[in-house]
Amino acid sequence: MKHFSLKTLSLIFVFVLAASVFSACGVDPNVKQEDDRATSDYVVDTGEDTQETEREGYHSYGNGKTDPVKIGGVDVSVKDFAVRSYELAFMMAQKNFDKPTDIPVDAAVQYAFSHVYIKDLNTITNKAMQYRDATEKQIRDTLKAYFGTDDFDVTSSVLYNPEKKIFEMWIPQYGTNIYYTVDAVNVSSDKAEITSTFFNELKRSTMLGRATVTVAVQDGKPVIRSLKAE
Amino acid sequence: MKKIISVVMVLLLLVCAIPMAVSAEEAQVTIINEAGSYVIDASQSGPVDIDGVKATVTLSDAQVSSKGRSAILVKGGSDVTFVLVGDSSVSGDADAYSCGIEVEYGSKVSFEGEGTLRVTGGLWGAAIGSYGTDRNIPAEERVKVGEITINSGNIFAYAGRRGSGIGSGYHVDANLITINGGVIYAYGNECGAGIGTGYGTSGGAIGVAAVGDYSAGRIVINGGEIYAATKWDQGFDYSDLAALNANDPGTFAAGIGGGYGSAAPDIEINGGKVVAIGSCGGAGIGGGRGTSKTAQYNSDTYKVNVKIGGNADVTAITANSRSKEYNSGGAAIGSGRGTHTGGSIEITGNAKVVAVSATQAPAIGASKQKSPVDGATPIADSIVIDDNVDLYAVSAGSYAVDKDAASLSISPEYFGSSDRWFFGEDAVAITDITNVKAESPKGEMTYTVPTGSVSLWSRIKPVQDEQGAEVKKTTLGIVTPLAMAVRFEDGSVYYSGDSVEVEIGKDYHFQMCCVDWSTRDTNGEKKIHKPYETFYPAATASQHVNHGIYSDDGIGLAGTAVYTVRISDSYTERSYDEATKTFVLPKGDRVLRTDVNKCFMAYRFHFSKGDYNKQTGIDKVVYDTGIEHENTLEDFRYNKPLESLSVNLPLGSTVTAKAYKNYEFIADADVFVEIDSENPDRSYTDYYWPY
Repeated sequence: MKHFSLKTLSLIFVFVLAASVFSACGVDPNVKQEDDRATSDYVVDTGEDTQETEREGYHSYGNGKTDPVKIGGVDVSVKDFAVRSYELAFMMAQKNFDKPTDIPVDAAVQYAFSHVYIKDLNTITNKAMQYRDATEKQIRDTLKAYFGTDDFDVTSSVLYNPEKKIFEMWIPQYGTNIYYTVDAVNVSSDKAEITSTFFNELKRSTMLGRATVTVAVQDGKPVIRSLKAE
Repeated sequence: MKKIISVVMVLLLLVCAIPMAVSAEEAQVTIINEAGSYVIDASQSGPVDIDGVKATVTLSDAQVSSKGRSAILVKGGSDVTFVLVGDSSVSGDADAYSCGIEVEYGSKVSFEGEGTLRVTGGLWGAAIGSYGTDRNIPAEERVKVGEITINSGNIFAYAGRRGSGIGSGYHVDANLITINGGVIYAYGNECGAGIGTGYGTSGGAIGVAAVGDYSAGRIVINGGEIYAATKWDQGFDYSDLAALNANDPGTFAAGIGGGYGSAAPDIEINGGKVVAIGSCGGAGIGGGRGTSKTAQYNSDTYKVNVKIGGNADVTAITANSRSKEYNSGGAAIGSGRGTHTGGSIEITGNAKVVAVSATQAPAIGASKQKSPVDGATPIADSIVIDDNVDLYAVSAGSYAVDKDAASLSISPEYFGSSDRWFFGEDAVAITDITNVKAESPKGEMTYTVPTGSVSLWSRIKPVQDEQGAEVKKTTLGIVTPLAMAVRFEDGSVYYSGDSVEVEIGKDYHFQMCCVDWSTRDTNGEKKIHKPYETFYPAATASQHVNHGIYSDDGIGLAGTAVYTVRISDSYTERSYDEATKTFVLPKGDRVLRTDVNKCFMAYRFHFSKGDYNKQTGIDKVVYDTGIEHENTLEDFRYNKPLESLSVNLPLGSTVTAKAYKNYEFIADADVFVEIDSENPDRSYTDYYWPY
């Protein structure tokens, strides 16, 4: 009886000690802790048995392709173009264009205008809608940076104020989390197709849609040539 | 073994006995009779006497109540500073003459700290101040009250029956109440004022106590944020007089000043924000309701003196109980119905005053019901309104300011000489209860007055910008397309029928938004927004349905196009420039009509193979909320995907539309809302599902 009590006490002591260690550290052993990379950049091969945890705010959570794709010797971030695909296909509702100038001017200007101020549009804070203005040069430079062309009649956009000669816009409510897997393939020496599959949730069980963006390198920088999404 | 059992039993009994002893202890009165600092916290629930000392008493999450007496009694010439910490509650006995915190005459209390105090009076008692009696008695026989000062804290003071929130109880005069800071909600009850006296008298006989014999003493407000009403549920929104009238408790008291039958000889407001509402013939700030019977009225003692100055921001209102004229007649600032004078009223300094009265009284001055002294129409003794005062006064059926006052001092620079001042007689032709039209040297002008007002207002004090130039402000009415709203740069969202104060000549950016249809009121009750017909009388009955809600929290959708509105300093300039999306409105017709210009795109959803039994929904706008409803037409109309959906959408937004067949989901599509480039003049777009 005495021997049994000591054994029991020892077990209880070990259990309590273990519990207190977890409790004191505030660590839930069932949740994988995030690293700095996950909050700011493409997540490298998270694998099947691990997953990121959902965070406050708006982020993109990628999975799949691990390395940048090389186009004409230039490293291109597949993560960036997965997000661009989402922006164009779902935020701008431009699901199919063979060349950038097929995008209606209002959507193209709004897309460029948004990127004058924000790199990843899904990180926009929806609750702080703000008035912004931009010059025609800023709009055109952004269009060139993203599509390799500014061949748009930008001043016909609804966002243009001809009296002030500036573009004015309320920053759109694009803030959202993006969950995707992505892959890329070089279709020629100067082009790659980056295919992203988007999901509704972090565990990627229900599909939202899929987009394939063709990316080419122009003047040493990757630009969008076309998009097909569903 | 038996010994062990016995010992255990004894221990158990002792353990059981401990709470009983504590309980008995709690029922006893705690007496503080030595100077010092004390803390009353949650462990102290019984009554407290503070007797003859100077003490600091911290109320820290205290829960004090009492039976047969006041919860906290300050007496014997005590000088007590209550420091408020946490959230404390102090309650008198509703069945016994008592207060929450009783301050005997000769003692004084002050309140400090940043905590919250919820204090409730007992029978015939103020929340803070004195209790009273059920006999109308001469002054020398009455219970008296000590001095009350509030420096900070959040205080909710709820009177007991016939008491004031802060001041005196039934048949008792108030003394000195000083408010220097804090946020205070003070509510009277059954003819007691919010701040001032409790129920005085409905009439007695001179020699005992007639109307006027009870006094609100001296009330001084130097700062803080004060809301004073005659009952806890009266409400403070003066923009809807109809609602105020409907909520009027019919208690004959002033918001600040006299309860029923009480004078207000000395009210001084030097700063802070004050909102006060009287009831049923009581003034907003001033005297309580009087009597029509000469024998029950004492004109020697019924006095009203109100001084408002400094940077005080004051809103005074009187309601019209249940819309009965005989239940009205209190001035917003001045006297109550059934009295002989409006007394003396001074508004000076940089004070900002809004005064709104119901019928039969000016906003500022004397009630226009016949005097109980001689049957004549009462007038104020003296009204002074300095040049730098910002005044907005509205009266329904009388003059905004009592122009017949025995002495009226208003700068002649403004009086009748510009568009800044108007009195009732200048606008006798007013018939439109919403848009008041008046002739002025600058032509016909239209002003918006609160719903239910039928007569006039006055306004003064040009605002100056940093360079000293005059800034002219006015109101801008809003009209939107169905189920849409406009959002200004400061984040404020306005719907059809709303109005916003703007500066003349200044550009205001706004955006178009569409509401979440599930938030629309389908029962015809105007829960959220003002009636559409306010600015759009030609609208059909269906358009009168409230418009629902847009919010940056994800309710509804916002566009990206930037619109601008500016009110011109001219009476004729009007334009809408489609290229710049800029409205310029004449100051005589300041209504922003976003419904008749291309500020949105109407999308009409159809099915290529026929619309029958096929529906369209739009995320955040027209969708199944997942909430169970009665299977009524209205439910389908507002909370479900719709057949042949036509929806107004803001330009630059992206919507996720969903197709349904017999309410079963088929497919979805993202749509960027834009002007139809092939038909740029068309304000609608037909969208066809391929089904």
